[in-house]
Amino acid sequence: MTTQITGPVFTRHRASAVRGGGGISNPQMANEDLTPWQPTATDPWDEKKARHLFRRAGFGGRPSEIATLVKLGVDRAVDLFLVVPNLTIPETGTHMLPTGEVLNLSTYSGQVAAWLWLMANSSWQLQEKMALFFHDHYATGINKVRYPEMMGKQINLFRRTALGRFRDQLIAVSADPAMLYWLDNRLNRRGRPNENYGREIMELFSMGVGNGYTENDVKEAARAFTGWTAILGYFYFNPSAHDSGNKTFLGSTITGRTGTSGVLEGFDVVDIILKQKAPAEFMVKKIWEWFVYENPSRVLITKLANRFRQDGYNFRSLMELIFRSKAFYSSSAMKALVKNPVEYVIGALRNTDQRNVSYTRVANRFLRMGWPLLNFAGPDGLPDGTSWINSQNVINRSNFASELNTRSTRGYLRTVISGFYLNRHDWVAEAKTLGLTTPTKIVDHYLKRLVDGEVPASVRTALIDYMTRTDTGRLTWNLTLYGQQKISGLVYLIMNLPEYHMN
Amino acid sequence: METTRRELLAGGLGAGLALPLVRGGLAPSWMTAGSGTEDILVILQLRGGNDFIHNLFHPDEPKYAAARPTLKIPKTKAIQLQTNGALYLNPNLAAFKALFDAGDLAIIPGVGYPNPNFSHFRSLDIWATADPTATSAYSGWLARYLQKAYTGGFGVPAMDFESSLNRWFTGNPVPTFTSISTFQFLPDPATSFDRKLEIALLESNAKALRPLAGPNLKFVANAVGKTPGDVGLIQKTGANYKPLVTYPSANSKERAVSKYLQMAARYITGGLRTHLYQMSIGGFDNHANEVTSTDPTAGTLNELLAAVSKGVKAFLDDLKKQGVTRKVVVMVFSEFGRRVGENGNLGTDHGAAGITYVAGTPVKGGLHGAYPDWTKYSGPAWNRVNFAYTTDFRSVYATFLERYWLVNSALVLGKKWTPLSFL
Repeated sequence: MTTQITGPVFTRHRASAVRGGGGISNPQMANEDLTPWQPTATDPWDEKKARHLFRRAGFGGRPSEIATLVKLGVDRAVDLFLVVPNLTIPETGTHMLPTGEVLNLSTYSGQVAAWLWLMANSSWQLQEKMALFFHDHYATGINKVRYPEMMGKQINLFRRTALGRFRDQLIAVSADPAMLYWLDNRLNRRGRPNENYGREIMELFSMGVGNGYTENDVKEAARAFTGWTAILGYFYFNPSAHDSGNKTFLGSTITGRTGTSGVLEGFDVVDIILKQKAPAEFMVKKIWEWFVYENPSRVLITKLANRFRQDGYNFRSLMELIFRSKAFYSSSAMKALVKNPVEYVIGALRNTDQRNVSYTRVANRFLRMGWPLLNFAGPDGLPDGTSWINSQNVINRSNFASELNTRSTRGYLRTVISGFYLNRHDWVAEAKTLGLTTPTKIVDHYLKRLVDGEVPASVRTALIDYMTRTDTGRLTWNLTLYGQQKISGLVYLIMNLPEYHMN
Repeated sequence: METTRRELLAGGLGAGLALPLVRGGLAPSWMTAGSGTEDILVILQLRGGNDFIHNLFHPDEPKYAAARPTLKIPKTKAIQLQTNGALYLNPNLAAFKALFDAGDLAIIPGVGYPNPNFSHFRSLDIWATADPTATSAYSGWLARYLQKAYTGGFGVPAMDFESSLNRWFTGNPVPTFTSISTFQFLPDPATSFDRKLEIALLESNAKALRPLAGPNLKFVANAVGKTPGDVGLIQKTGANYKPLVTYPSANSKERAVSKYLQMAARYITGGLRTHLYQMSIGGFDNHANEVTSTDPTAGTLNELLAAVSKGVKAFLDDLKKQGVTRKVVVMVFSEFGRRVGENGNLGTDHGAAGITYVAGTPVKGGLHGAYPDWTKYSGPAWNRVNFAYTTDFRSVYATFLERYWLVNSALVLGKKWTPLSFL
């Protein structure tokens, strides 16, 4: 038995900055077709496609939600994701979840738990998914920001701008207190420029490393942002710290301004950046690789980037184009990505429709999986794709699935209100409601629900066998006697399948 | 299914892995380490850009004082590196000074590459791939070493103490974990009724044939399938390890460094053939408050430097006391240094040349390579000045390849780089 090394595995968007296009490409191929996908007799809108849409535009569907999407048809289903309110959630104080669990938002873990709860329970799944994408994009960490409330505030900013315009978002991020701490712009003063933000707004947030700007542009951007600072957790422009000289930035002149209008030079930086070719390409490639598949061709990226620019850098238009496209439903996209830890954890909660869980505990388990939510160590965001999967994370995901599905109430489901225990998921009742009486029916139901039934035949056979086997011998199937033990174990085993790690 | 360590190491694990890098079959016994090809390298990355000049400096140089009015360390507080020498060490590196005096520490000042890149991740990629142009080669240099030059054939040649696999090893079967105690499967602890069955199924389901799987699914299936084997190896090896020296633990930085070094010590003393250990510590990106406003030898960077130097010394002392006879060397590096001058926020911005330390008994101690020449640089805008590199980092890699593992460095680095003399 030999295993071929299938070429190096790289971080998706990190590598993309220095990588060329995807080689030879044919714009006629289905996987690059941006025209709307419509069902046909042989290729209907079905549960598999609805689950795909829900995994990408959200965090995976609950069974009832998938049924609804199938009924609505693809057009209305996509509409449901694209319409979102101007939602923000509390950033400070204490927060009580419907289960009675109390979260303290002045703690890091409280903020993480509050967000995970919303990701699992928000009706506006794309808003949270985009907020998560932008959190990765503008990677910020509590380790330096220090105030958990500021992190909550930054995520609220992403919620509000998630399906808005890139320009508004870049300006808002530049004035975001957490960002002003994170990349030190609060300390960026006339005569003592701090280049950190001036560099990253181009390198990481808009243009990509080395993509059409020079070291001098970094310095000039830093000068233009002098005086943008934070006081008491709010943005403040300090005219006396602002360098009012003229700047030459990306070939354009930014006229120096004095007084409070000096703040407009930061707007100028954003506007000049968005006149370049790089930002649209950089953003659509990153978004495509997050939401559709890796290594799109240069032709596709150019086409999408042109659209994005024409639409005034509007994220809603871009996401609409993507979620309706043939490319999005092509075989190149379906289950081609690896779930990140949020997608795995929140997906597991939603796919099994489990609501009675402690989000403090979920946060604790989630934080072991390699994504330090709200706490990036550096400004360059996440490793992506297969880099999530290593032996430690395989174990951590497996143990989360074990706790979630199989353990008794004492471990997993206790809330912070003393004496109050949430109920463990009742797998026997669920099986009875669904009319699942035999091991085969049970196995097929959960395989279909969790992985579209797409596993090697030998795996299905082994799982059916598992239902009536113990470490020491065989048992005669009895739903009431063994259902809780065996169905929870089955779901645990399915969540350990390589297929369940795919998004 | 009880597996002895011997079986695990010699057959059970390696056979299950079907490694592309296993050539010439498995070694007959886990004790027969390759002849000189499995000398141990422990890599400690200082993430964020270690301010080289705050490590090693010329206190009498007027330009040093001019460039760093608040960061500069007065001569009275610094440690003179060599008798009659002009170079001084940060006092927080006292443990390094002890290693240096014992001839066990090589200091390479001014390590870097042409056309320095000031982006953290680009520069880390450059160090990882050993390719400053990085237009073609995307695999890590150690990944290439394992694939093209390593002939030992041991199934777990490297371990990565990180939460996600370091680019250096991409494409290789490297167990990646940050804690031993959480590195095990916990199926349904309420009962042992079908526990073993579940673990067995977890492994066999992942190993089921998937002829039509795409590359990502194949990768995941391979990773899930081999994890139970890794668990056995990592739980059993060195389970009785106890440090024989006191590792630093005064603050979270010291505890982080000590934790990972002790993990390496456990597997080295446990007799594991693994010869590459990778770990990192963050916090070096000090654009602000690198030192405290009252003391240039206190504050973030200084605590980090103390943690690193004390940790490395404790690790080497521990291995000596444990009677480890294999060669062990620690390399400490950072993706770049920082500007020559401070930025006004008690910090420094991203710079070019950095400092690399190589410690261990096999090392020929001393200064290797030249400290950048102050006469070539001038102020007053010191916060925009960068030291150019004086030693190419690929010469450092070539030294390990040619003089330590005795392999052809051109196989890994694309061409011959002149090794340094620290080994």
